[in-house]
Amino acid sequence: MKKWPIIIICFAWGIGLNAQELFPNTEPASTVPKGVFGVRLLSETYNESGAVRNQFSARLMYGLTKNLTLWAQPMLSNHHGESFPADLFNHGHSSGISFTRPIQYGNKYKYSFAGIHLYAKYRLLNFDQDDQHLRIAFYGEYAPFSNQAHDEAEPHLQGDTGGIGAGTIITYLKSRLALSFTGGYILPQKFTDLKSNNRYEFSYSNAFNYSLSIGYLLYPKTYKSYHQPNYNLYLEFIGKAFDDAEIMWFDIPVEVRSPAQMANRYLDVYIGIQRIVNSNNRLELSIGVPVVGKSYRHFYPLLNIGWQRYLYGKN
Amino acid sequence: MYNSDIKAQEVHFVEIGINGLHCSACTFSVERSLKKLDFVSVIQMDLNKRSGKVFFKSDGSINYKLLSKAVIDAGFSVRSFDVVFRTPLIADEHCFGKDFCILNKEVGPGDRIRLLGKNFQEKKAVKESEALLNQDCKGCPDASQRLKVVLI
Repeated sequence: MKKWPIIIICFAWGIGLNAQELFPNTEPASTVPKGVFGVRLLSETYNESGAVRNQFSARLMYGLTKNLTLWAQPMLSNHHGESFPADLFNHGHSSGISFTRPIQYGNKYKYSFAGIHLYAKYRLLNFDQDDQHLRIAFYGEYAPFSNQAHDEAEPHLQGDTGGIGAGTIITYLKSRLALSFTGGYILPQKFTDLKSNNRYEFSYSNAFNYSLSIGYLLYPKTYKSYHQPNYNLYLEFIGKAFDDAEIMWFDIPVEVRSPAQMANRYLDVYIGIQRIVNSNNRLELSIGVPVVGKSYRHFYPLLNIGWQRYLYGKN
Repeated sequence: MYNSDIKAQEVHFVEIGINGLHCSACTFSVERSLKKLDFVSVIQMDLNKRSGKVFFKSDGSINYKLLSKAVIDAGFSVRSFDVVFRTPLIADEHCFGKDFCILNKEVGPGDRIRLLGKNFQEKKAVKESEALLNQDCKGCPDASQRLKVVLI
């Protein structure tokens, strides 16, 4: 663990190359240009005890003003079914206590519409200089509902739970080295299982979300034209901290004993490479592994693939 | 609507220094934003100098404020904004055309003027130009409407 600060410092300063802030898994404080649409397609994949889990997202972005970016992102996944598993908990007949079982992983689920993620980012401050800039933005996010019975305590507004969230993004860029910090808070909606005979009500925990992203430009060292491919390397530390979930069965509290439904804090790291083609098409690949603790929302390693393009219109 | 009475054909190009440009994708966004202006003809972005030269259609007039706004709308800041003329202008007074007020003590001849003030300079330079910007253009018609510039 103690090696990580050293690695970060070496990454940031020792290599001394060029950086970018077009992070694959987090948002910088910069915004989409005014009046421009953007399309971003995302894929997240991991192997859950033999079952390959995928989530596909299609993000439509728009720069409403020079400081305000909006997006809507529908998502499709096979993370969960529409109802909680029938064996979600045990009931001790002698004690009369109901408690959750360890989650049975590797169940097969069909792909289904998981929900939609709405996001607004407002760039509040902007200190631009020739070779550096510091930008600060606030964001708010809203997932009106979740269509899947997510059975872990961790809230995740991009696909697994409904709810709202808000936070701050601070992005600093010096020469071509970029650092970005995000801190936010999530208030998830509870999920009531109305489609099974077990009337479960699952209240996910509120959560702090945090991330530190670092990026630099590997190539080119000197720009010659828009047609030169750009290669950027990224290191993103992403995590959350949250409390126990609260589960009710026919209005009776169920004691939470499964680790996946209990309080947790963790930090993952994503190592990513990005290729930018013709100065507009972004292609990126990143792999996520645990650094501190682990998330029960997904298994490791995660393989994330992204593609993005701005639609400037004809001129 | 602001319009210069200096004909576009007299202007060789406008050179805009842009802060915040650190990738070719960013530069491309600025170029596309500038291209939306109907009086713009050709744009030559310099990714290494983080600047762009804007050339104009000869039959129109140039709106300098819209050029600056296009850069800012793309998400960036203007560091410097120079207008370069095809031939050295002979400015024998501080009122230049109907739209510029030249603030140098000595004026002309020269082929380049630098626009001063918010949206044409970075914040630090605006502060440094404060003394010049506080000068008025007495004697010039429509003094309050004029863009303040220095001949360089």
